[in-house]
This record gives sequence, structure tokens and C-alpha cells, in this order.
Amino acid sequence: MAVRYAISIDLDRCIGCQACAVACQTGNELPAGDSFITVSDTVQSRGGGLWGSFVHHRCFHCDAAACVTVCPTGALAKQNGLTVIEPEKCTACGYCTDACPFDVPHIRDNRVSKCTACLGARGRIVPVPDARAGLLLRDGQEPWCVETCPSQALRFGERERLLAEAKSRVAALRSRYPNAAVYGETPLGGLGLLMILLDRPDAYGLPAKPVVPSTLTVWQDVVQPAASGLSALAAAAMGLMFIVARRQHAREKAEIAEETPVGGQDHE
Amino acid sequence: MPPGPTGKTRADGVRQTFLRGATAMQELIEPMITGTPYPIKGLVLYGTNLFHTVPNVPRTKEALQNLDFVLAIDVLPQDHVAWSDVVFPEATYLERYDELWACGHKTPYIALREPAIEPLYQTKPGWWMARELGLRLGLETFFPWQTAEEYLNQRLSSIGMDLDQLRKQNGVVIQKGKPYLANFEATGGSPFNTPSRKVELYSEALSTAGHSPLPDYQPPAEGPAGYFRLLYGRSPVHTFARTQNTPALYELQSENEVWVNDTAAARMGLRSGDRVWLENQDGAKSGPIAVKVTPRIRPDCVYMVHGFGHDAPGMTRAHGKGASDATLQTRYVLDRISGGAGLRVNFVKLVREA
Repeated sequence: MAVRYAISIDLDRCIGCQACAVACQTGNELPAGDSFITVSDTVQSRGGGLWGSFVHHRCFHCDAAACVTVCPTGALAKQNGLTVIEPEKCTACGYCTDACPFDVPHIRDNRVSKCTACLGARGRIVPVPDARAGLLLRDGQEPWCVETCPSQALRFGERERLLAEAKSRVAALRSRYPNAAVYGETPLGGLGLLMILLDRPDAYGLPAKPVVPSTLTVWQDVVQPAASGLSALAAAAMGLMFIVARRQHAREKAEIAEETPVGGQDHE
Repeated sequence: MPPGPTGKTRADGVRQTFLRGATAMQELIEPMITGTPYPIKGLVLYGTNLFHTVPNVPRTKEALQNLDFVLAIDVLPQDHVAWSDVVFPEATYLERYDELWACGHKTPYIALREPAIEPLYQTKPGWWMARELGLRLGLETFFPWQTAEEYLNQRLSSIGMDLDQLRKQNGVVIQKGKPYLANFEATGGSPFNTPSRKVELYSEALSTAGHSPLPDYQPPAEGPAGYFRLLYGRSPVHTFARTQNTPALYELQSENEVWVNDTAAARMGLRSGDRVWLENQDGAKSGPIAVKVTPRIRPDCVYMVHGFGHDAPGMTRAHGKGASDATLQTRYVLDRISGGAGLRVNFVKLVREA
């Protein structure tokens, strides 16, 4: 099995400077208005004092990625634990934008747009033998955000190693932050973006247990195999199934949104 | 205290009225208007946006109108550039050589700034302007070199290096630093340039110069009723008043916000995103600016990030975005020791955008 890579973010080390966002945008030559990373901050009144943290919003590179599951053309795919894009395959159907539990992929210039951990130029997959997996990224460099981070809050490397480091870091942080934890060890097959949180996930607006709507598995297990065999029939079935699945997905998504309010927050 | 290098009294009072300081920028404005201690006829502004650097902008504009000649050298069509007689558009830092960057802190290094591309449009590097002006003013003995490379190589030769070596080392020479007191004690030295060779809380030098030898706290003046003390600071995204027009940074932060305490905001019926004008105790206005309601500030103060509120149509993105703290700082308090200006002595009220 190919080595799983990951990015980790240590929110105790983040200084909120946004250098990662700038490096990402300029390094990936994103057009004006597009971005893969946003860094904001949250401040909450707690007891007599204030609690605050920086909040990073970017692709979590889920192992069981909902966007990859729903993508009908294979434009979104998994490679070494990272969720990558082959833009020329994208038809801008927008299913991924609905399916993502973190609201990450977006359509820009009729193509899906999101962080690909700087795999290849402008998110294109550059196939390389697994033995050279460490050289997947542009010229063997780390992702732009990681390379730029001035406080070493961002790391890139083998997921297993980063996870172990994150856990020992959390153990050290617990004396100051009793709720400190690694976010992303197990949900959705394990995330390719590990975050060292200093408090419970909901304090950052993150779902405690991110889930993919169950209808998406129907899509992957039934509709897509059918489409590959019986093209005419499948086309009809696909249309029907999609309408059903999409309707149900939209309903479930609305229900999930109602059930998990991001209460008591003052996003700034 | 010795006068400036020319032996002449400095108009800004540094080393005369004030004990320390490089330049007391704001103290140059009055001499431009009054001609005291001597008349000032011309001004060369290099990368300094006077209207965001010096408090009391109306007085600065009066001073500029009083001068015979103003030259502005800048990489951007900043606010003050329109007030100059001659403009030299400079190449950006990616298009020019600059003086060696020598840093003597914890890890001393020498860094090289060299052009990545040829200058675009009709811009020129600062060193080129200085040299060409020097030659025309009969100062050729100060410019015995032809190119920036030649000048930098000559400088580097004093440490047995040249440009090629510096480039090979990524433009950085790492030397062993002396960050600890023990580094100095070993040789009987001290990092502190004081008579006692210690950090001085009580200073005989200040006493001799007629100041209080101990820090002397003077409470700041209170503002009129209904006004907030105007505080200012920096955002990690922007550098002073010079990056607001930079595309990537503009996208991250295109305008500043005025922070208002949450209870004070509730009392006034203000919500985050509401747009207001700020008007100070002397009637100076700036805005409109978006309100940010937050518990992170005292109820009697408001805060904003410095460097916004550009009034420069050539700055196509930043022009008219947000409010300028400098415009609202019509008053300042002078530190008699350093010549530094205390600017947090202005007060504003919030007026809803009509």
C-alpha cells in the first residue's frame, strides 16, 4: 500500500499571520478571488474572561472522501492519502460541493477547486512511482503553506509519523489545555489534515464526528457499477437514483445543519 | 549632545532638544512653515507616505505648500505623491539591487537583495537615481563606482567576500551570535551602552539633562463625553501603509474595521458590519469604516488597524477603503526625552453612514 501522507496544524503554534494563505495563493497561482486556505479567529466569552483561537478552513483530505465518492468522472481521486484533482476530467457538476462535510470544494472557472497539498502543478496529478512518493510534490518540496509557516505550526510528512508527533504534543499541552486533542485520527477513514486543537472541536466550529450522508454509499456501490456495465439502462437509473439520492441528501444535510448548531460563537 | 554630522543644528531637534532618536519626523513640519531654526526650502521623500506617517495631516499639507520643491520617490502612487513637484517612480524590490542587509541580532547575517527581473515600465532603482543625481550635482567623488554590483563587491571585500560567494550561500553569512550576557561577561564587556553598563532604571544621564531620572508616569488626558479614545495597531497581513494595494494581501484584508466593545455597541444599537464615519475632537473625519463588535476592547476605547483609508486614486484597490487613523490624529503628545510622538491622545465619535 502506498505511503499515506498528511499535513498537520498545531493551533498552539499558529500566530494567525496568514502567510500560509498568501503562499498558497501565489505559489499555486490562484486567480483573484480563489483561495484554498482561510484563517480567521474566534473569540468567546467564558466565565469572566475571553477565550480565542485561530481557525483554519481548508481541505481535510478525508481518507473516505465524500467528494471522491460522488465524483462521476474521477476528477477527484485519492493519492497517497491526499485528495487530488485532475481538472480536465471535471465537468463542474458540483456534486462534491454538496457532499463535502466540511464545505471545502468549490467550482471556479468551470472546474473544481480546492487544496491538493500542492501535488503537481496547479493540482494536476503527476504520476510518480510509489518508491519516489516523497518527491510527489512540486520539485520535491513541501506544500507552499508548510514551507512558508514562520512558527512551524504546519508540518508535512508521513501520516503515521505526524500522528505520533501530534499525540505527544497533545500530551504536553494537556497541562495547560485539558481539552487538547488531535482532530482527525479516525473519522472518515482518518483525515489527511491533522489538527492539534486546544479545546473541543465545536469551539472551532468543527463537527465532533464528521459524517458522510448514507445516500452517498448507495451512489458509489450501486449507481456507479451499473453505469459501467449497462450504459443505456444505467443512464436512466443514474438519473433516477441521483434525483432520489440528491433529494434525500439535501434533506439529510438540512437536518444535520439543524442538529449541530455552532452555538455561542463570535466568529471574527 | 553633539549636533548632526554636518555640525549644524537639526531642525527636528534630535540630539539638541531630544537626547535620542534617529529623526523626529513630525517635528520637521513646523520648521517648514515657520522657518525656525532655519528655512527649509525643499524636501525629498523616499518611500515615506507623509499623510500616514505624520500626525495632523492638514498641517503637513500646509507645510508642503510652503516648500519651493518637493521630490517623491516611490514604488506606488501613494497619497503624498500627488503633492510633489517631481516624481521618480522606483523599481520594486524584486527589480533592483539594494544596500546589503546586515543584521546583528541573535544570529548575525548579511543578506543580499538582487533583482529577479528587469524593472518594468520606466522605473529605476534607488541607487541609480542617487548616483545620477550625484553626478549632476558635482558629487562624483561620492560615486566612484559604475554599477550596484561593483559597489556591493567593494563593500563585501572588507570581509573577504564577493557577490558570487554571497549568492552561493543563499545571500546569508551565518556568524556566531552573542545573544547572552555570558558572551559579554567572558571578556568583561557589556551589551548595554550606559555609564553603569547595566539596564538603568535610574539614569544620571537623564538627570543631568534636566529630566526625571526615574520613569515619570503622567496619566493621559481624558476625552470629551460621548467620544472614544482612538487606539491603533497592526495586522499581521499588512506592513504600515504600503501593502494595502498589493493584490494577494488586498484579498485577505481589503479594509480595516473599527473595534467597538460589545456592551458599548449594544447601547448604541451598533452591529458588526454596520458602516460608520469616525469624527475626532477637532472635527476631522475618516471613513466609512465597518464596525466590528467584540468583547476584546474596553468600553471607552475603539481600535483600528493602521494604514488604510488611502486617498490616492492611483492606488486602484486601496483607494477609499476603510478609515485612516492618521487623518484622525490631529493632536499628539511629545516625549521630551526621545522626540517620539504619542498618538493615542485623540478621541472619536461614531456617526452612522448617511
